[in-house]
Amino acid sequence: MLQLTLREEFRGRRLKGTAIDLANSTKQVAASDFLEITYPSADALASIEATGSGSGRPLVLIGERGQGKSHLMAMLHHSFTDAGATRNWLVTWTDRLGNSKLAELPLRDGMHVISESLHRQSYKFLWDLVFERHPHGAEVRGMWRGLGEKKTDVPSYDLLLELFEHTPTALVLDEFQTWYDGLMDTKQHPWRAWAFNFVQVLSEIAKERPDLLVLVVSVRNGNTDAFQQIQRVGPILVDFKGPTAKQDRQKLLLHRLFVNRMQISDAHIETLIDAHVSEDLRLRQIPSSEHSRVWREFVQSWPFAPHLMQLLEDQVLVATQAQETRDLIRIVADLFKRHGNSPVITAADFRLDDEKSGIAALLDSVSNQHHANLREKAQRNLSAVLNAVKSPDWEVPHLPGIVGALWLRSLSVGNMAGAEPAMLQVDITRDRPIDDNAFQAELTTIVENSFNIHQDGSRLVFREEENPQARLIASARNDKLFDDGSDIDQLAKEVRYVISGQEGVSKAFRVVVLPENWSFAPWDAFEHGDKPGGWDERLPLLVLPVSPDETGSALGPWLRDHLQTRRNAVRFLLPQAGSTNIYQDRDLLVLARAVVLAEQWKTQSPEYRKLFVKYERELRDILSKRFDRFAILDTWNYQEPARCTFHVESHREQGAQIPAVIDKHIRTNLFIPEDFEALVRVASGNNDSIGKLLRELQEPRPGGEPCIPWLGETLMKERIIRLCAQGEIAINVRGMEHLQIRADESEETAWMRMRAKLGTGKHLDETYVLRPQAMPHAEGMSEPLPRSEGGACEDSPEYGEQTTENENGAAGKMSPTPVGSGSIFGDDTELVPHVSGVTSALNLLGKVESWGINTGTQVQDMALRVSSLTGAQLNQLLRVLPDGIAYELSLNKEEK
Amino acid sequence: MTTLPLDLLRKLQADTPDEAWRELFAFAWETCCREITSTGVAGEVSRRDRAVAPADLFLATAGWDLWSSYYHSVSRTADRLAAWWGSISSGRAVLILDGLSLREAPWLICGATERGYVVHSAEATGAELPADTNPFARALGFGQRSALENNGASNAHRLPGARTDSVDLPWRECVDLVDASPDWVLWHHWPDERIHDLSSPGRGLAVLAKEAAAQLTDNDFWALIERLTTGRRLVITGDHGYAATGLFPDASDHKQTQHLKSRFRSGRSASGELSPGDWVPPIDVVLDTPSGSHAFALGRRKWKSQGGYPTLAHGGLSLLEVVVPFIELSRPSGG
Repeated sequence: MLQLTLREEFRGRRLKGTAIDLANSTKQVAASDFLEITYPSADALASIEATGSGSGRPLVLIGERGQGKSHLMAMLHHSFTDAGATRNWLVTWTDRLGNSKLAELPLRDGMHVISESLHRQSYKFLWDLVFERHPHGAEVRGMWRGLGEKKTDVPSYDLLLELFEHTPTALVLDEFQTWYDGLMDTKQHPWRAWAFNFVQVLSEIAKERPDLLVLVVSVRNGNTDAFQQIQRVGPILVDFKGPTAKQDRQKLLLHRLFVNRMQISDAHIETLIDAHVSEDLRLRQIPSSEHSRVWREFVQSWPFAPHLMQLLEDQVLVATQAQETRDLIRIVADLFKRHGNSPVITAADFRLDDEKSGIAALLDSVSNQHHANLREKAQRNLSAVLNAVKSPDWEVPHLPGIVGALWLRSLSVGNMAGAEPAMLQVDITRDRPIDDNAFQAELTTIVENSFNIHQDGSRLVFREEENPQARLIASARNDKLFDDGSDIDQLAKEVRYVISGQEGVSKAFRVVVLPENWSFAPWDAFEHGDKPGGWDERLPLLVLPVSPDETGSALGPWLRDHLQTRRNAVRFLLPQAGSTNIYQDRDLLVLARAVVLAEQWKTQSPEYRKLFVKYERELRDILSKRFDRFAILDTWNYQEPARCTFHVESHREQGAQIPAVIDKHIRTNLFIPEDFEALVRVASGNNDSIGKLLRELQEPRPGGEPCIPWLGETLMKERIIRLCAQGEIAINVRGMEHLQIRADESEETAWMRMRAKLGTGKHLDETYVLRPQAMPHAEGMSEPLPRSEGGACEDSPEYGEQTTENENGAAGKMSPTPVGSGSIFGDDTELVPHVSGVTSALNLLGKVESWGINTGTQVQDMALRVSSLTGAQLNQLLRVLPDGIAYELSLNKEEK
Repeated sequence: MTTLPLDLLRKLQADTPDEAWRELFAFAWETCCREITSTGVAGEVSRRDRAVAPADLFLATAGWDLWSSYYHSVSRTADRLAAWWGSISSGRAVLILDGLSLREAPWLICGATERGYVVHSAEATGAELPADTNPFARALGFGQRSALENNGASNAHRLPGARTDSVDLPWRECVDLVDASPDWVLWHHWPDERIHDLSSPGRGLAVLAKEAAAQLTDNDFWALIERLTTGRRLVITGDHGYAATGLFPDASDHKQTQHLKSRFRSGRSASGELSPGDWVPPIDVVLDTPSGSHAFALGRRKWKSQGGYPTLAHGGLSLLEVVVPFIELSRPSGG
């Protein structure tokens, strides 16, 4: 990537610690080499200025681990010992930063420098260090010891002043707080108290005689007493928290990492990251007035994306109290080594599956169990997605990047955890833009198949707890969990439920959902009672999983091979033309699996109960609309079953209404009563039993005749009785009773008389249909009644219209038996007047009955007289008058 | 004909060789490196060239013995470069323009200022003797100029850690040549190539001056400077200058002409254990140099030679042959 080169120390396979050790840095490294890796941050410059000639206060570097305190101390050491190199360094940076003040910073020269990392515990007392390392130290120590009884616990101010007057000294003490806090402080060994006093003496000399002593110490925070002691003399504090600290840290980091970051021109960088930044501006909808600022940020932080740095600094590291700059360097160094060829390094370069991508460094740094757990979860999600999709390279090409970026963005605490989809798209955009739709599809696939990604508003976020819905769907997509076919079973069960309602509750219809291998072994999976041999009288409705291309050629042979009896009784329910086999429809299968799993898991969590209901409803909604046509046998050809023909009709209904609608459709449109009656008449000529007749009706008609749709035993029996009531046939009920219309009997009366006479089961085989003439009759034979068109099935709704017509007196065709029936000599109508006195309505009904007026009796010139009634009673009376008759009304209204 | 300023002349005669050389270099710098404001570039350059002639006359006559202290007294480019290189730990670039003389310095200094560069120092330094390419390359530890090609130099030279190249490409192509290595040494063959191309009679300094003005104000050239100064401090210098011999007078004495012709033919120096001519003041000088003993044509004189004496040449002892600019600049925004 534009030949950006890491510094030598970062190039090794295993990254060493980046901690600067004061002792090593000052003794083993030349000043110029050390300064070469030093960035003149505001803190560094403040330190130099504070210790420069003309300044007279102790310097305290205060900051948590890893912020660069030791580095600054080493830098100060070199500035005291090699002013020339330091000056050169400052001059170099004057150019680079365009800040002429750098070169003008005063440097202190000619000091004796005593630098020590106190955590090494090389000296028991701080004055040991001073005496041992100072050229005049031995003498002053001798003077102190020589005081005899006057010897103080701590070397006196005057002694130290004499020491420093001999040779002015810079005292650079690293890890001051660590050392001080570790000192023993008992009555017997009041070492901390002594150190406290000695520090006080030193800080006072540093304040009063800055020409003799420069005191520089580092502490982690202001809590230590040692710091408080120095604090009294008003030291200069460098706390790494200035207004430019963050910007400095970024520049420092790039300078520390790369040999030649400065040598890469902005123009080159801009060309390289053009695609990424343009997409960033577009996707984050950044206003054009901000574009130049964003561009500048990108160029400045290159090769790392600014949002990555921001993420690491503000969210990840701060949230976990890591060692800030030091760890940041390690993390981004690892990242760069792994992804150095990428135009820009983003959050997507944290690869969960790749230890070397900086993730290990990050986890090491933060040493936070939450992060590690989340990573583990994310990794499992990653493999779940890989398992779930068929061709990951095609369907989810950016999977590791997206999951890695989302993981990193989910580490932060608070509301900012997680990422907007647009941010993730930016993260995975490198040298060319990624199509929005393709990304959306990919992200949806990932989210659906991961069970720890939660939707939080518009953000997606990884959480340790599982997202029940995602887990459910992710598991549902895993084919390996359903090798036993439980998903197929569930799907079949759902289809049956959708078409017939709750299992076992269905009244008139037996809904049989054929299995996947319906075409060659349809009944294997069924229990004995559910096989055709065990079917009851309910109308079988067979649900096909797939719509055959040619209904006749597919269903004809099937009927012959797999159904031995009642071939005419079955009805087929077909899915939408062109739809896939429901058992191979992945969406349906996944939903069915989700239902299966949610049902299993609903005891674990109430969430799954909700999901169970949700997915069951979703599945049923789809299934209820899936089957839109039915097929019923029209003509049968046993020899060449492929030449059978079927009626294939659309039913325009959904779900549980389908069987009834199909039945109605068949009764109304496909059942031809004349064919049925002709068949019954033929049977009556043969004196066939009704049992045989009914069995015959359930089989297809031979010889290519159109089949009479089987409407169910009850309806068929009713129709036979209706024929009997019409006088077309007579019925011998098991030799015990002969059913035949009587001469004085209307069809309706006969129907009422006969309708419950036919038995069921075995009785039907002993009940025969006969010609009506074969019955001797005491009152002679009535002529077979002229049949009204369409018969008299008043109870059948399809004939309702006809019935109404008859009642309305399109009457001539159905002349009733004359009043005073029994006359066989003529049809003259005699009018017999009947009058009743004033009485109640109930008494009038009794009178009417006593006059022999029944429902079929015609009555002429009826007048009902009421002497007095209220308007309300009149209204009530008029309301109950039958429709379709004209009335005359005359009354005398009282006027007041 | 102009003459040396009197106070300068007095200083030259009174001062130590070190100071005398410093004065002479300063005089040459002052004369040649002021901004060229007039439109007649060729005329102005020729005028400045002639203005330096008195100093050359002094060095060829009253002060000819100063040449013997040249090596010890002048700040030589190679040493200056190595010291500068050592003073900066990283982010250094050197652009050596082969044959760059003080005449071209105004365009560099003014161009840099106009384009926002910070010129940290601009001074005159001395070339190696003889004022040729190879002595300078050897003084830097490279062996020869071509050793720098395609980063071919070993690390034994005096500019350690540098990526090196030596090319004669158009400036624009040189821009792409400069990669992101922190330290660079680029030795470009311009204007030396043109010095030799334009050395035929009738062309010479006037044409070269116009060409130099065009080249050094070209945006492509400054694009190269921009690339070199990206994160680096840059020194532009030359290995040697050149003499506008076309403007020199012919040696008048027949014997002198014969001597010069037989010794130097159409050149300005000759190697070997030679003894100088018998004339006083001399017309040639023999000096021991790190490249061995050489005889040099002294001062501004030319002679008839086969094929005609070139109108532009280098290698002899005249100020504009041995003095080169040493310009240190940086681009603040590159930091």
